[in-house]
Formats: sequence, C-alpha cells, structure tokens
Amino acid sequence: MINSVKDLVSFFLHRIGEQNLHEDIGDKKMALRKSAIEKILEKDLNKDAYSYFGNDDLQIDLKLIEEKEGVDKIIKTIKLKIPHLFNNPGFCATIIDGEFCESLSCLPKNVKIIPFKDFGEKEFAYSLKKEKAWDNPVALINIALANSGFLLEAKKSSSQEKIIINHINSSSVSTVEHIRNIYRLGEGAKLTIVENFYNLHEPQTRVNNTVSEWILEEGAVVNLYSLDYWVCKAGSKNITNSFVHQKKNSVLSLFNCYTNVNSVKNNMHVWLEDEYANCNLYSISLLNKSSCVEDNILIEHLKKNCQSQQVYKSVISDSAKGCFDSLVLVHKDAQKTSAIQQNNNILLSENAVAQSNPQLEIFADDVVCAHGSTVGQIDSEALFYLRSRGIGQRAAYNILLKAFLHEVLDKINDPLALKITEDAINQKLKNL
Amino acid sequence: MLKIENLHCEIEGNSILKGINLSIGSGETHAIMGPNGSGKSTLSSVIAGDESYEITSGSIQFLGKDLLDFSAEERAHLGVFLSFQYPIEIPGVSVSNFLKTALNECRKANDLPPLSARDMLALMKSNLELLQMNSDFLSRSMNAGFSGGEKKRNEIFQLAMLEPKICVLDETDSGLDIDALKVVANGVNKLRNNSRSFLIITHYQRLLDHISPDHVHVLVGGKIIKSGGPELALELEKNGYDKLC
Repeated sequence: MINSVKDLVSFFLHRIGEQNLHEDIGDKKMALRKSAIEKILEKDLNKDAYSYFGNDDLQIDLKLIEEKEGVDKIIKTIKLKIPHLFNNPGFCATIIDGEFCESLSCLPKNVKIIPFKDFGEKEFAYSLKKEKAWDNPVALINIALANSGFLLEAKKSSSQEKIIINHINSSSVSTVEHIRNIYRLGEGAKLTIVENFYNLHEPQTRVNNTVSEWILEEGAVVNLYSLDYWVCKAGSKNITNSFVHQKKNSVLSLFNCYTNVNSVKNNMHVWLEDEYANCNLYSISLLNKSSCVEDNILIEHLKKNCQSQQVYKSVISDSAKGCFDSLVLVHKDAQKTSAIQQNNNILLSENAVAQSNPQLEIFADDVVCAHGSTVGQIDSEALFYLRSRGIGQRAAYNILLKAFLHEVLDKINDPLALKITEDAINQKLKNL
Repeated sequence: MLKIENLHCEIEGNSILKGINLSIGSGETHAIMGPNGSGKSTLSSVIAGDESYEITSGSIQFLGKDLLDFSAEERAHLGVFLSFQYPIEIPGVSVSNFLKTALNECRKANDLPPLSARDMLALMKSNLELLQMNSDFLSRSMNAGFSGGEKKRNEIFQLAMLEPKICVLDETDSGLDIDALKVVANGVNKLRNNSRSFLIITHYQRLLDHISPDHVHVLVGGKIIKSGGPELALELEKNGYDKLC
C-alpha cells in the first residue's frame, strides 16, 4: 500500500531500477524519467497531488514503453467493429491505445504524426523543463511513466485542413495510460482536428494521465474538437495538463464536450507570447451520478493586443460536481488585451455542486476584461411558457437545456463536430 | 365554453384573486381591463396552468372539464392558449422547430398523426401572411433578439398555428407601435370564429378599437367589479378606474 510520497517514489525507483535502468543507463530518455523521479523526491511534493491516483494506477509495466505490441493485430477487429470509421473520404489519424497507427491513417501532405516511441530526446523533454511541468507533480509522474502519445506536426497550408483523429481503446481490461501529446503547428499552419473516442470492447475502467503541449507559431490557426469522451466504468479518471504557447497572430480554439465521463481534471496553462495571439476555450459538461469535471485554467497575456475567451457551461444532476477555477493574468506589457471569462451552471438536483471561481489579475491599464459566473436552475417561467404550448415537462426541460448550451454550440463551425456534439447531448439529456 | 366560479388564488401567501366569476360563451370575445396590480395577468396565468399560483378555492370549467385537474401542457392540448405579456427567449431553437414540436405534441395528445413537413410549412406560410411576416422569421431563434413587436406577432403566429379554442391575450398591445397594433389586431380578427373565444387583457382602450369585444369586465383588487358592453371600455378610458372603485 502506498500512503506517502516517499513510498511512491521508492516504488518508482524500484520499478525502474528493476526493469530498465541498470541495462539502459545511458539512454537519455530513461535518464529523464529518473530525473523526474528525483525531482519528486527532492521536492517532497505534496502528497495530495498524488491522491488523484489510486495505488493500482501507478503499477505500470515500463516494458510496455519499448515493446508496445499488437496494434496491427487488432486492426482487423477495428475494421470489423467500427466499419464506419473507414467510410469517411477525408483525412484521418487512428490512434490505438495511445499509439499512432499509420496503416489506418491518411494525413494531408503538410501534417506528420510521430509516435511516442520514436520521440527524440528533444520531443521527450520538449519545453517541459522550462515550464511549470517540472513543478507539477502529476506532470512529473507523466514524465517518469509516459508510455504512449504522439507528436503532431503541421506545416503551412493555404486553406484550413481537417483531420479526424479516432482514438481507439482496444483493451478488454482496466487500463492506465500516461500519455504525452505534442501539437506543433508551424508558421501559417491551419488545421481543424475532430477527436472521436471508441471502445472496441465493453467499457472498462480507464485512468489517463495526459500531458499535452501546444506550440503555435506565427499565424497558426487551430481548432480542436475533443468530443464525447470514452464511455467508461466508474472509477475511471482522466487528468490532463496542457501547456500552450502561442506566437503572433495565432488562433487556438479548443472545444470539450463531456457527457460520459467519471472524473476529469483539466489543468491548462496558456502563454500568449506575442501580439494578436488569440485563445478560445469552450466547454460543455453534462454530469450526473457522482461524476466530476474540474477545470483549472491560467491564461497569461504577455504582450499587447491579444485576446482570450472562455465559455464553460455545465448542467449538473444527482450528486455530480463541476468546478471552474480560472485566472486571467494580464501582464503590464499586455495593453489592449481583450479577455472574457464566463462560466454558467445549471443545477438539476439538490446534491449537485458547482464551484465557480473566475479571477482576473490585471497589471496593464488599457484593457477590456470581463468575467462572470452563474449558478442557477431552470427558469420556471420559461418552463411554463413551453408547457403552455403543449410541450411536456420533460421535453420542455431538454429544449431549455439545449438553449442554455447554445452559446457554445453556436461556436462550433465544423458540421461533423456539431453533429457529434448534438448527438451526444441529445443522448445524455434522455438520462439526466 | 369557459366558466370561472368564485376563483381565489394566492402566491407565497399573498392573496391575488379574490372571487372571480366569469363566463365566456363559444365564439365570444371578452375584454378584461383594470389598473396595475389588479390580478389581470395572474388570472391569465392561472387559466393556462401556471403552477406557481395556488388555487385556494373556486373552479374553472372548460368544455365541461374541470381545468384545474390538468397540467399546463394538457390544457394546451385541450385548446387553451395564452399569449404572454413577456414571451420567453429560447436561443438556438428556431421558430419553425419550436412550432413543429408544439403542434405535433398537441396533435399527438388528440390522437392525430404528426403533420408532414410539407403540410407544416404550408400552414406556417399561410399564417405568416396573416400577420404580414417574412418567411425568414421561421429560421430565427425563438424570440431571441426580437423587437417587442416581433415577439407579440410571434405569439399570435403561434396562436394561429395551434388553433386553440380559448385564447387569452395578456397585454398583447403593450410594446406595439400603432402600425404593428393594427397588424396584430387584424390577425386576431381573422382568427375569430364561432367556435373560438377570446379573453383580451389590456390596460387601454386602443386595442379594443381594433378588436371589438362582446363584453368588457373591470378587474380591481382581484375581483370583477363591473361588467358591460363595449361602451364600458370607452367610459373607463374617459374617466379612469378611480371613479368605479
């Protein structure tokens, strides 16, 4: 039983020492893993940071990192079970258990995906050292134990390219994944990514610890729709640490839609590093039972004329919980900043919880910043209006909830992403 | 058609209606006038089934049924319609989709098959003409960003679509300019027939210049204190409510 940070660290050291380190001591990646663990040890980081993980979640077999096998074996099953994946004539990337599967992918010319196992030292430690990651205990665990992920590299394109990324979970047992994803968008790259999630077998317990890095060079324009996460069993957890760097004139729009999740924790740190960078974060959560979605966001406006927008909407039922904790930090050089922070919650039951903490810290004097949060219930007058037109209570509720979410749905410009989101919402509303 | 007897109601312990008696025959148009806070809007909400009011005594009979036994949506299915003073905005739900849902729910409750898309559109278009509205209107989000006049036209448009038997118009004239008032009133007049009754709630005579009522009632302090013909409205306009109280 691991019940202290020390236990946890010795557990790591034991695992690594036992399996790889003595054989492969010169391996630079392995050295980085070791440094991450030493860092944990040295800092004696707060145990609470690990409480997100259960004991079993950290018992990962490092052999898997080097010898992840069998992706090709399951391609047949995928073709059999999810045939519609291959009906789409457009560009797609297939990621099986976190690993990029080239034979089931078709990428545009300007896009390249490199699987985690082929990461060089630079990718392996890319930018993490200079960022907060090395002070972030969960990200440190990720550095130490990362076993899957990809680097997506996009170069300049004349028009907005679109890729559908199909994430496939082929496991029929519970899984733990420490995933490292890097999105490197070169100067003038324009890309829309729609992420789908499929289970090949009955839903299982999943623990995901993802660290994502986003590097947007000058003029890069990226939309990511991460929609309708895996259906998974109770006990599943998903923690993501994202580090976003945006250069001049770059635009990043991230959409999340959670309808199936158990426990999600998103930590996001955005640096708007040069003028006219624009970051848009949108999220819809429909939560019931004891599910929980927690967003911790820090957006730093470092230079003038940058924009950021956050619109987070949650519908929370049963004893589910939604947390929005966000800080927009406007540095003194960031004049003409425009920042919007918005979090709206509807509670459908007595035990549902919404925590909302939108904060602004502003050190420049010529900015437009707005923040607001609401926690409320369905408006009884609106409900009466719909019922007085003959629409039953249940249907009226659903219409009003969709109207509540409309502000985010309205921002989805991609028809496929919109359809997936609407289908997921309609499905979930039946069960809320 | 509609018979209200000794109706008392309250909200959060405050008594609002204190013994309303009102009988509306088939095809009749009645107007209720009264000062602010007299209970006019409460009466209309109670008829339509707003559950925030508690009925403490009395009854509302509609076509031989005790209306108080039915929920708001069931009353709509029976043929009760309320045109709201402040219609609700529903962003992301188009006027046509909203009406499709509402009309088909009403049809379903009355054992009628859903209207085909073609018939639905044809019906919508003919009713839009009635209110001199453009067909772009159908694809706009329900009341979202509508002007006051557009909201009220949309209420009457819904009335035309749902073809109710009793129509309660709660201050339909408020927020309308003179031209819009004429259009709305003409629309209502075209929808009047022998089997459809109207209860028009208003502060002013001006709506009644265009929709002439068969009966006028004065509601003050939760009670109807005087009833008469159309001339009563003119008298009120001239002398105010004070003289009657």
